[in-house]
Amino acid sequence: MSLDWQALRLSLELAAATTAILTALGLPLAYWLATTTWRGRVAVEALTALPLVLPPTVLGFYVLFALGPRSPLGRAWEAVTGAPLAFSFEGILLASVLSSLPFAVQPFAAAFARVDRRLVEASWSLGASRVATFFRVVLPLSRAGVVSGMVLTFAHTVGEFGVILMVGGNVPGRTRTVSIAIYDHVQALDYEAAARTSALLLSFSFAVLVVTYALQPRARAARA
Amino acid sequence: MSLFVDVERRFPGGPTIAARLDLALAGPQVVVVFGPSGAGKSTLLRCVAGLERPDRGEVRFGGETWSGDGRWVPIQARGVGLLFQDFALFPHLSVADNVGYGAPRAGRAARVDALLRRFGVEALAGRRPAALSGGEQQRVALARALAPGPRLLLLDEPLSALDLPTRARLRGELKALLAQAAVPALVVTHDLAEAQALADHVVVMIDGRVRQVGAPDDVFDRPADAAVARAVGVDNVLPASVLGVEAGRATLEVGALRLVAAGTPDVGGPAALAVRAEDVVLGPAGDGANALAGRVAGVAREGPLARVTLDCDGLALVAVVARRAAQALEPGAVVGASIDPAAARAVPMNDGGPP
Repeated sequence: MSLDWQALRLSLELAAATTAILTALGLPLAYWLATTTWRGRVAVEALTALPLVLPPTVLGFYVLFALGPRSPLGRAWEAVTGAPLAFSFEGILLASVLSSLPFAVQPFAAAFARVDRRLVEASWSLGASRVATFFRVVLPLSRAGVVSGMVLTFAHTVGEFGVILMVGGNVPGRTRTVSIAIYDHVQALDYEAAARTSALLLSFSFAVLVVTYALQPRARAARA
Repeated sequence: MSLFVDVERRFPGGPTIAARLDLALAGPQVVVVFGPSGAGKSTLLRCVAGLERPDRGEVRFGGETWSGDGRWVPIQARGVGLLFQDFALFPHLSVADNVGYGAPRAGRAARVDALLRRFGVEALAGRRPAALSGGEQQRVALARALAPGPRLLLLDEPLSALDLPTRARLRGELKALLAQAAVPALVVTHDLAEAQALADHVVVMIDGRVRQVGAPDDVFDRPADAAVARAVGVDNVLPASVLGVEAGRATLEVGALRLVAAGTPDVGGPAALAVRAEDVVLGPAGDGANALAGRVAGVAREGPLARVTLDCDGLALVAVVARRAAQALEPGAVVGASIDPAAARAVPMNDGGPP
């Protein structure tokens, strides 16, 4: 019996890379969203939420277009690396970063918004810079929200299908993730293999969500 | 210490704060900014702290310009210690780490130790803020604010979130702690008892403007105008017209009555008689200055006292008497009342009447 180990490994690599990138980009973006008074904020908020409502094919179509050899990004990438960006691991990584953006930014921003503003101001008055205040006060008090954002991003990327199919095609070892492998099995009428891989993905996703909810602060744990 | 503030801050769809304040303090004194909610007190404090950018104007402390003239000193560089409502201790840090948060790196542990001991909370060093009582939190918050060695303490409604008995207890304690801190402090409050308990100087703010600055006795006993009189809790602020002014005393026409009060408002200008209820003395109708008679309209108990409302020829006058004395006062009864001309103030009326 063959599980799709190669596909599973690729999915996990993709999810880990996506989570790392979205944590690095999402924390500052979310903190900015949670604290800015700029009116244009709502447009940025709407933009980060778009992947939630867009069909993956639409997002995938635009990303594919942006990665192609005729776009400035695609051309620049090819000039630097010598390989095309479309149908590559880097290509689906970029696509899944965009597609998972709300799963990171929204929990981050919600957690930051719950941090009492006066704690931040107290920290400033004690001489801590804005960046130091973020790391010493805001982030520790938002830990549960940040962790759940990272977990959701990871899980969502593992389950990503439409965008990756659009952007990555189906290149074993490069862009053939576990969800696409399942699709392949069904296409090939290999229902047994599809069932095995599906069960694997199902139990993984369930476990992730259990961990996420277990990490959520309960009412009794909330500080006074 | 000298603090100069002349700032304007507009809020879209809200009030405009235009406050001017020039304080020169000898030593670590406590300045209380007092006024009703929404008067702009907190905005003033936040402009001094550097948490709010004024739309116009300047803030200077000592010889430094903190804001204005295109300069902006960030809050981290102003050397101000903040104390918030609820004290805003960092919930994820122990008491010692809270106090050490802003302490200079060199000698931090010794400094934290000394501060904890100074405020009597050394036994709590390892605890989290959630495990502290209100009084302990107040001590820790003050120790934390003092750790970086601030030049000015700013307290924003420090006791307002507490229940009444705790507030009364901490009020007295805060006064002692501030004296111990030996750093000048600016305290914002809308609580008259808090202002009276803490203040060496009082700044009265109403509707976004500073209306009176002075020693507590000055402000509370000699309010500058009718609005300040109402704000500092003067029970009777009665519209009047000024008939004449002589030797620091004004003769006022209040309703159908003619009364004498201390003060020199403009003759003919709109004015008010301001007199505290405890300065209205009930008794047999006399014939001296400011003797009048009224009909008892109502008696309301207030703890050991009673608040008596008199109808003096259509003028409502409030007096406070001991509750035992009030037992004899049936509604409808006619009693005499007198107001010591020295205790009554004739003040300009500048706010168009009660809100």
